[in-house]
Amino acid sequence: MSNKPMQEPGFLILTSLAAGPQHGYGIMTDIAQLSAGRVKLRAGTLYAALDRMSTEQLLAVDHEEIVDARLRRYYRLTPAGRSRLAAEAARLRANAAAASQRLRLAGS
Amino acid sequence: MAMTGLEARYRRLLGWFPADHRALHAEEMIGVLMAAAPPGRDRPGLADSADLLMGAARIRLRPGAALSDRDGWRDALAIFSIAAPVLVLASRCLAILGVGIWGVLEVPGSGWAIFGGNDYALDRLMWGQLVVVVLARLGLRRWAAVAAPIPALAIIAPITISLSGNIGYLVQEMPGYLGLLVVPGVEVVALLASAGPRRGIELLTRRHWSYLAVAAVPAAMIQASGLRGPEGRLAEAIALTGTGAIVILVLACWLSSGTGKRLAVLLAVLAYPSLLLIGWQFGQPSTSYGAYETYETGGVALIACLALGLVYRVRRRSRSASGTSGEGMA
Repeated sequence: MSNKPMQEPGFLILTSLAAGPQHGYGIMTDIAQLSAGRVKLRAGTLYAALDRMSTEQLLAVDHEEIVDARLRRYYRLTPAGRSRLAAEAARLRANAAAASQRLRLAGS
Repeated sequence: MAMTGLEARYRRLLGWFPADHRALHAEEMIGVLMAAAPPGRDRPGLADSADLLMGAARIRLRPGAALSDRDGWRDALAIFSIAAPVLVLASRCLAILGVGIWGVLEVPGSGWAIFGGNDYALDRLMWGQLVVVVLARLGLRRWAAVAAPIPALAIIAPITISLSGNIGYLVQEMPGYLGLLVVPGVEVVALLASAGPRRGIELLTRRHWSYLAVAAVPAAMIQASGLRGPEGRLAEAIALTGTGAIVILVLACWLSSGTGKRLAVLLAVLAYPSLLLIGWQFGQPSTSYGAYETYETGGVALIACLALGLVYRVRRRSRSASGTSGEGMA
C-alpha cells in the first residue's frame, strides 16, 4: 500500500464510497456535495482515479445494473480502502490540529 | 437507444483510452458523460474533452499500462518498420530530384543557399534506408535490422575514436551525431519487436500509401531547402515546423484507429526527416576526420548486408523447396 499523502480527488472518492456502494455519476454528484461545490470531478479524472485505486485494491466493483439502457457499475470500498481512508483522515486531522495549535499560540 | 451526435463524439474521445480500459469502462463512462451533460448540448465541452484526454494520458503513462495494448503496438511497429524507411527514402529521392531540376540557388551575401543534392552523409543514410526497404520487403527483417544502423554507425564510430582524445569536444559534438541513430534505432526496435514489414504491408491500404506519398513532399521540401544557414537556427525551425506538418498530416490520416494513434506516437517521437537533418546539422563531420572514407566503409558494409541477406533468402527458398526445414527469419 502506498504511504504517499493522498490527493484530494482520491480522498473524496474514498470518502464518497465510505457511506456505501456508488456508481460513477453518483460519486461525482456526492463529491460536489461533500466539497460544497468546490471540487467538481469530471469523468476522465474520475475513471483514471477509479482505475488506479482498483489496481491498488482500495476499491472493487460491487454490482452492475442497467438504467435507461445505460450500464451503471457500482463501486465499494475494500477493507484496504477503508484502512487507507482512515489513515488519511487521521493524517489530515493531525495536520489540522497542529495548524490550529500554532495559530492559537501565535494569537495568544 | 439511438446514438446521438454528442454520444458519438464522446465515444471518439474515449478512443484515446487503452483498449482494455475501454472494454471495461467505456459504456459506464458514456452513461456518466451523458448524464452530466447539460441539456441541449450536441458536442463535448472543452473542459470535458481536455479532462478525458488527460485521463487517458494518465492511464497510458501509468507503469505497466503500455503492455496492455501489446497487439496494437505490435501492429503499429509493424507498419512503422516499412512506412518509416519508405517515407524517409521517398522524401530524400524527391529532394534530390527537386535540386536536380532547380539547381543550387544561393541567396547573395546571406550565407544561405537552397541546396540539397550534395549531403554525403545524408545520402549514405538514405542508401541505408533503401537497403532496409529491400530486405524488409523480402521478408528478411533481421537482416534489415542489422542494416538499418550501419550508415550512422559508420559515420559515428570513427569520429568517436578520432575525438576520444578530446573529451570536451566529443561531448559537445556527440549529441548531434547520436541524432543520426534515432531513426535507425527505432527502426531496429520496430523490425524486431513486431511481426515485421510483411504484417505492416498487410495492414496498409492503398489509401495509406497515398498518404505516405503526400507526406514525403513536404519532407523533401525541407531537405531541398537545405540546412545550410550560417547559424542553422532558422533551418532547425524550418525542419521542425515541416516535420510538425508531416506528423499532423499522418496523424489526421490514421487517427481513426487505435493502431493509427500508436503509429502517430511513433512518428511524432521520431520526427524522422528533421532528426536526420538536425543530427546532421549539429554534427557535420568534416573531411579532417576522414569522414568520406567512413561513408564508403558504411556503404561496403551495407552492400555486404544486402548481399548476405539475399544469399540467405535464396538458400532458405531452396531448402524449403527441397523440404528441409530451417529457422525462419521473417
